[in-house]
Amino acid sequence: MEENKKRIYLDLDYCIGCRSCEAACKSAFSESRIRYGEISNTAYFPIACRHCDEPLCAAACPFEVLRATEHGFVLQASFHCVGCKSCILACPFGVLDKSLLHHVSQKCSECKDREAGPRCVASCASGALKYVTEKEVKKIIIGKRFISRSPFWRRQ
Amino acid sequence: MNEISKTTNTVCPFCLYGCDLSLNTSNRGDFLIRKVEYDSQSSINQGRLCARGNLANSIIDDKKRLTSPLFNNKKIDWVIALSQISHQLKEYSGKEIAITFDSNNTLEELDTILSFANALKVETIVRSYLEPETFFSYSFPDVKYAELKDIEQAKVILAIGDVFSKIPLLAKPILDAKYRDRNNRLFYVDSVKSRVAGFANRFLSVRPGTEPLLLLGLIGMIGKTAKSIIGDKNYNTVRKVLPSIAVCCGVSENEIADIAKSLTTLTNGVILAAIDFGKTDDPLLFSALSQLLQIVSPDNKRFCAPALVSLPIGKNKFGELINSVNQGKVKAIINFGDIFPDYYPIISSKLQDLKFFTSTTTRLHNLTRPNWVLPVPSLLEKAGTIKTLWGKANIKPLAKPVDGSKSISEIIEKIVPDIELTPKSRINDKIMLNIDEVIERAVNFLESKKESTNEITILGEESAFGYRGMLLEQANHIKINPINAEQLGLNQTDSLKVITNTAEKVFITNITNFVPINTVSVNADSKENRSLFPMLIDSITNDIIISPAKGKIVKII
Repeated sequence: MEENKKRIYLDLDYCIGCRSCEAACKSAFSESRIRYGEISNTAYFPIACRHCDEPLCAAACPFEVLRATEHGFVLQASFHCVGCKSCILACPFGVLDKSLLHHVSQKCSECKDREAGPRCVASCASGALKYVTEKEVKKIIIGKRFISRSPFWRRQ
Repeated sequence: MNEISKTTNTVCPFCLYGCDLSLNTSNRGDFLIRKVEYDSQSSINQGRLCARGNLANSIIDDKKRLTSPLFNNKKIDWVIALSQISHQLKEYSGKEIAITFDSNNTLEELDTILSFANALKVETIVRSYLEPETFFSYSFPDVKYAELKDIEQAKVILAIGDVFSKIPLLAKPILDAKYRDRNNRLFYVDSVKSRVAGFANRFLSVRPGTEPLLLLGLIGMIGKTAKSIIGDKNYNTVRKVLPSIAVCCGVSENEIADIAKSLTTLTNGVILAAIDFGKTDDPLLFSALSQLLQIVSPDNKRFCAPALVSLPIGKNKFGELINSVNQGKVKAIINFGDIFPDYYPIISSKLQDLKFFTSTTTRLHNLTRPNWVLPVPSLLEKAGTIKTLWGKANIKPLAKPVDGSKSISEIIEKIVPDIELTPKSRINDKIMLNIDEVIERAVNFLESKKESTNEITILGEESAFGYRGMLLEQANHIKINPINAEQLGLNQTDSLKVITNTAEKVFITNITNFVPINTVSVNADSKENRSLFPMLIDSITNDIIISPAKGKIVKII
């Protein structure tokens, strides 16, 4: 994996489940490409594409629509997508949504059309989503307080 | 392909936080593409936005936008519409007309509406934005309001109600303050265990609707400063009822005393109060006591009311309007706004027989069949001043007004030519409260809460992402306690029917212990769910009070 490859990280200490990331994605691409999960009602997990080093979605694609680029991104050439949903079944993290938009599967491109980085990170209302390299992420305390932050979490 | 791109900046008008909002518009052939931009340099929000702000482009480009005036649901030309309205209004005297306004207006437009009312000699001017949070217009003269830095530097934060759902952007300063020091405290009071509970050092689960009582208990526990401010007599009254407060709101006296102790000993602090639709029994008392708690708290404590809109009160209350409609005094309503009457199905049914002139941005449902509907620009397409938590802010239009719409001043100038657009007097912003009356009301409220019933309480919960029905898949879900679910033999995703005095609806069961026993909670953003809640007229202030509903739940097989 490239040292300088930035990824979307989630700081559980800050995520309040406001779904602002989902709205930002929906507002730019008509359909949200970031998924939203919930563990009971107090912990939330927006799940963004991890841009895997060995992407299974790309391996499953029969038309080579999904490809891993040399910079470590998995990008989609939507024009050639036939909507066969193979990538959706292949994704081990369940990030790709089952519904197709205009017969094309919806795949996160980390907002390649925006220089400053992904919209979900820029718009995150509580600053929980971070777009950083692996080195930088180790410097930030992420999720350390999560388990201890609330007695109600443990009582579930 | 020629691409011209332009970025416009404004202040987000959807809540009181006042985020900077930018919209990038580019031409691609004949298409206009609007995308929200995130400016990391902005001072208040650093580019962060909640779901409402993020969906600004879809609000402008909404397919439901109205593009032509309607008369009895049929399209009609603007020129004919305005001349007919002007003609029809002459049939009524000033006393027979009521003017209402809601949140889709800038402060300048409210002035224009006021001068329109003066020109027509209309006496009834009413705020038709009836959300419970408008009760924060009731205030004490010496409330100290929080600034953003007060929240960031707070050592103790008391949040009453789901503040994260009202204004998600507040989460960052609140959590920053909480995480800065191990000894900093975040207390959370609510009847439903919502998202804030997951972050709080202590969560007090009060019986549904009894938040005001807990606030009264805290005031009674604070001691010296409270005594000097509310007076010996009131203080003794509150002290006397402390045990019954604890019983009625279902929180032990020790727990109330613990929070009161933190509020007294820790210096900097903020009291945040948020009211949801159908969650508190007496929103007026909730607003009054939360502000009183700030006044009596020693040291540097501030008050903040995260709410969606701040509007002037109007000359009359909505209850008075309904009474005069019932007595046949008011025969026509001119409404300048957006969400009324669509969002209040129960109120709308009471106003069904009136002649109706209303402005709107999106098409209304056929709830009242308004006689005249005029399309106006949304707040995102207007210039003017709005109020925020941190003072006044100027908004600029992000896009051209939608085709076929006319601004309120244009409409008014056509209906009443030669009108002077600056009014002689302004509408009141605040109604001052009296401590004695508030304490008396609180004690009466306590008496009324002592009788317990076996009926199920239906609570409302709001969320920022449910704005205008977008991303709103949870509207059909109902939260129910596992114990109640077992009694009814319910499984997850079974159908459950809720019957209240006003409506009934079938929901999908979501079994969770985040709601207390004998309580169910539904989403209050959806218009359909809103009709489950009663809307009563307060006998003293004539405000519309929306409280949790009582009713039955039945499993559907």
